[in-house]
Amino acid sequence: MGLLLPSCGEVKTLGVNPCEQKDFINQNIGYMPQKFGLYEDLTVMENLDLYADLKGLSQDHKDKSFKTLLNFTGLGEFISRLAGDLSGGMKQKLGLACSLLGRPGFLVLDEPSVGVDPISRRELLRMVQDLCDEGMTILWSTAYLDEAEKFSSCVLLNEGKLLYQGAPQDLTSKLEGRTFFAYAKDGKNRALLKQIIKDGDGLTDAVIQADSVRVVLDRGIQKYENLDLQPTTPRFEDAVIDILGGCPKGESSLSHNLQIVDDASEYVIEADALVKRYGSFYAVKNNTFKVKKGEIFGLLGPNGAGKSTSFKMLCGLVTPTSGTARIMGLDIQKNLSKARSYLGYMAQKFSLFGGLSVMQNLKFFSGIYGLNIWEQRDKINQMVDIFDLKPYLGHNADELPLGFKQRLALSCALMHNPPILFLDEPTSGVDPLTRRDFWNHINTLVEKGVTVMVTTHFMDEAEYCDRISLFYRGEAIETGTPSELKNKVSKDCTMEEAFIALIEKYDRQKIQRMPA
Amino acid sequence: MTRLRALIIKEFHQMMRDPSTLLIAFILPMILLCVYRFSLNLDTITVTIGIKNEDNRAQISSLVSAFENTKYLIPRSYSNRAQMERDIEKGVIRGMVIIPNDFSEKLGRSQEAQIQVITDGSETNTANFVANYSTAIINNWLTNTYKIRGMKKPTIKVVSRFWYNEELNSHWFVLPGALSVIMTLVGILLTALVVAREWERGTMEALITTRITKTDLLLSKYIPYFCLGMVSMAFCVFWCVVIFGVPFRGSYFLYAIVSGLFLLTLIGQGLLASTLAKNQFTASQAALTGGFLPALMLSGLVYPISSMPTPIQFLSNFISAKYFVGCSQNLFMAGNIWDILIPNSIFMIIMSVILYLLIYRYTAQRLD
Repeated sequence: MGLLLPSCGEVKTLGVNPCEQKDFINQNIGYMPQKFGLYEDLTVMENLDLYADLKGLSQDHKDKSFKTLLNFTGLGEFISRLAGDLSGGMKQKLGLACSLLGRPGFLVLDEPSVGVDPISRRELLRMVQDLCDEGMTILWSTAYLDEAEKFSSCVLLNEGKLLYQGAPQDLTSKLEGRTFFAYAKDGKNRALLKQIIKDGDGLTDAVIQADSVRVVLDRGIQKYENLDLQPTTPRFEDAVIDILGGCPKGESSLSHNLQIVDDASEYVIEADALVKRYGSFYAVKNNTFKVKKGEIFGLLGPNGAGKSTSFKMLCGLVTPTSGTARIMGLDIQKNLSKARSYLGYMAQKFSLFGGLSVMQNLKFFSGIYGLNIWEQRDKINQMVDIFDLKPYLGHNADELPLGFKQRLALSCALMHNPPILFLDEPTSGVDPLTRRDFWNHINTLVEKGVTVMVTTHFMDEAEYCDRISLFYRGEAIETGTPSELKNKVSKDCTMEEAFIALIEKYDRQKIQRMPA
Repeated sequence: MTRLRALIIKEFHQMMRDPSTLLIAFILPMILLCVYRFSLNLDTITVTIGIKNEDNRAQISSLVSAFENTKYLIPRSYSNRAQMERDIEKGVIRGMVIIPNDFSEKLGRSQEAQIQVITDGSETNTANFVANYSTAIINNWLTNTYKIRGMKKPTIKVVSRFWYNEELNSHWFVLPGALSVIMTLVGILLTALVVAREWERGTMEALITTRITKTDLLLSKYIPYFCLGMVSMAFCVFWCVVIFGVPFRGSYFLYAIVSGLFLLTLIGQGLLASTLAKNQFTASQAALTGGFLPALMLSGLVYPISSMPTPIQFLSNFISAKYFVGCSQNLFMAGNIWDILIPNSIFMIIMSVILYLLIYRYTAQRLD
């Protein structure tokens, strides 16, 4: 697009060099940047007007395209609303509408679906499909592999290198006959996964998927130890892991080093009728749930659904408008520091001190958790061993690769042996291998009795959880195990399909409940 | 042209909807004007001083009473010098006047008679005031005494007169000068955020993929904020003239032209910071420390430039507020003095052109 100058090599877009013929390129390309490029303090109509004028559309032309685009995106009734007051899904549609002004032949969408609810995401995909059918070329960048699976052609990049180019189906079909589900006899899928990964011979990938373990075997291998394997269809993510050289194997050394949490109380996290109101806006409405010891509990939902607010009320970062949050039976409002001492918290973006070295970060965090010098030294050595931080000890936290930042953040959160671990969007923006590695550590912690609470908007990440709560518009609309939720919809749907169906059901009920 | 118009309309919409814009453009200057009017007071104040009279002749008592009869000095008599020194240390008195025992004798013999005036140098302004005022009182007394006696006047006679500000209302010249500091703050704060905001919210990326030119982009920032700045300036002048009663002797038309030039340099500084930083926080910090503080220190409003070391004096040539302080004070108090207005305006024009070119140079058309 001519936004960045290549250091070497040549780019040709629409047959011309984009850096030299910017005018031609800008005229013929529709571009939606990350965050959609909207002016939040302008209304929907003003945004459209601005971009139409910038593209040099005539008044006549403008009126016509506005009509079509508003119709196409369903934004017609919101034209006088400020863009900043739109939901994520509507912003995305408005961004798309702005980039479609002037009917470009080539549309570039940069991570258009980040933080958008699954329904809007599905609608966007449908709209893009329509445009495609009309003959438009569309380039869509994404970190979601399930999205990439739906496109006619893809370019797979890792660490700046091209891994694959072609139709995703071609790549996926190579794995035909190599993907299976394994079920644990006693229902303990986490232990099963650990056992499978520990050995690792002939294994390409293994992840938890609801109550089973999804196993991908190396080429030519049909059997795996003494597992009862049931064949399933491969998906794009399996193929990507295959290209990347398979999932990390072996055992998380956390399993040897961590002391087992022993505590009598059955429910370690309790939310009782939590409400958070900002002015007239309810960020969280009447949220009630209990989390058992040794469970992974997930809060799943799009941005702005209230999951982060619930999460922050539970660790005492936000005061609830009403209701109580209890940690290990303690009301967090009344015993803030005691309750917090039970918590390990890993914030979004990791909240490390970028200008300090890895060692200094470890020392700082062990210090603020109140460990004495000898405990600090032991604990830091232990963490360095477990997470292989040794080669990076002198590096600044900013310079670390993302995966190591994540490990460092996790080790900082674990300094005081907390029985409860809070993870806020732990793996957004992290590649699938690092994500697997991270979840192996988390699984080990859970086996030791640590309770984990996690927020995520990755639908497939929700599969790792024992139980999940679906968040939508400030309410927890459903709570249950991943397979329970899926079964509510149909036998073999994906988590995303289940989520969409449950939201739609909720919306229908809401309309019925409204007085006529 | 359509594109520029669309961008300007957008900028106006954003400006009007952002409450902080109006706060910065109108409420902030109002508060600052009040602060300058009521608290930055360079006028005479009432100061207590100590007097030790060692000369007991009758004619000297009239000198002491001359001190007692002023509005601004409260004399306190001491007989013990050590006590007086303790009081000056404690800050009870701000200066001391010592009349030696041979004072009237020497005067009578037409010799050089001396009076010692000691001031508390830790507060320069007060010290100067006490020294100058005491000298004036003594001289005055001297003249009067000789007149009464019909004797020859003393050899040295100091006559001070204050031009332009006959009533010595310091806010008459502080406020017009303060306008430059206030407008620096307003102009820079308003514009330091606008380009950086586009980068932070990701809208710049969308803008540069449309067919707008750099000139479109820059003018769309200059024009709306220039208009707003001029309205804000008019508002400030209104406050000075109508509410605080500062006389305005020059032409309002000329004042508008110099203000416009000054505003262009400010918008330039703000936009340059914003363009280079691409981040609202850094941009506002850079603009404030690089724009507002030098304007306050080096414009000659508070600290006279002539008493600064040469390198700093040289540096002050790059502060547009310096040129505006000169223009503003002249237009308010003296009228249209072209010898001051023209060179100062030329400097401001040069500065704004250089700033515009710099911004043009650093406005990105790519992301790297």
